[in-house]
Amino acid sequence: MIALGISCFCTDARAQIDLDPPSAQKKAGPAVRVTPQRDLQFGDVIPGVETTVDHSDPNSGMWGLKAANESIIDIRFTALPPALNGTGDSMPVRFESTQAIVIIQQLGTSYVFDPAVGITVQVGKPGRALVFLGGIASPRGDQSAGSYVSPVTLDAEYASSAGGPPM
Amino acid sequence: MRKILATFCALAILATAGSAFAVSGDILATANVLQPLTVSNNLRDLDFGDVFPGIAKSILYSDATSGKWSIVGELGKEVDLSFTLPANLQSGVNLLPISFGGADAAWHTADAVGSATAFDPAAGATEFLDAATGEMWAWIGGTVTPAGAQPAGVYTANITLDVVYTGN
Repeated sequence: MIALGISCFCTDARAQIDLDPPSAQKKAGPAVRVTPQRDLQFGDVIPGVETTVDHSDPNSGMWGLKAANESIIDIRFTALPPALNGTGDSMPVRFESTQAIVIIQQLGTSYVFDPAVGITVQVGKPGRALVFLGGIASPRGDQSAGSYVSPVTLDAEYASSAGGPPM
Repeated sequence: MRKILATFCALAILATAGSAFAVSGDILATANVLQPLTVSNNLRDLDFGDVFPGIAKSILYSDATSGKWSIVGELGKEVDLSFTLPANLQSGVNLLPISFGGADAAWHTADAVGSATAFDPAAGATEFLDAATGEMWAWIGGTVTPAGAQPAGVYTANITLDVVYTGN
């Protein structure tokens, strides 16, 4: 009987490849959340007569924002429409420099801003804010009757000048 | 035999850090453009007919020769009615005074002057277009007061009715 012993000199070499540096593996902060809450409604509009909705009106557009406590966020409108679209016709709209506002909840502070420019703000604790948008609809005298609509997009992100999201 | 085990361990690390990328949210901007208002032109003139010098003559809004307009707009919307009223009819250089009393105008949502509601043309009215047709009708009467020596001739003047949406 032959006992066979196998000696295996094994070098267990594991080549571990880290795809990201260790610092990225720390527990991360929350992502910014943008929640649409209310459409901007001009309502009934008379041909040839401008209709204005202020950011403080009950039919202004509204979004809720949620970010990390006391973080700094950039708020931008990336798709302010130049017109609302109807069936075979479009109606000009515009957004003036005082027709947007951000309200920092818990802090009770608010900042009017130009929707064409955007704003950078610091939120409180918890990191909630509300953004309101008004506008001006300018129907022509021969504007076709009917419904007109267009999307309005609000973007929010942690400000890059603050070194990225807080951890 | 040296067995070398090489185990490649690829770590897929999800980017769970708070995102440095923008997050978006869309709302809609909406509007409802109303049917433009149209007001008839010269549907029926206010015609006093033959007038005798020194004898005033009145036409009621309900008379067959009262002035008349038809109005069409958005169903059931509120409108303001206002008149631009002349003080005189004119024939060349000659003037014939005209006046309008507190019940010399009327409106209704149908072409039925017998059911119309009177109002003062100097004050105007605010009423709703018909909810089913978007229509309204307006009538006007008045009184001319020729002088005893009023020169003969055909006297005329314009009466203008303005109609605008109130937003209601």
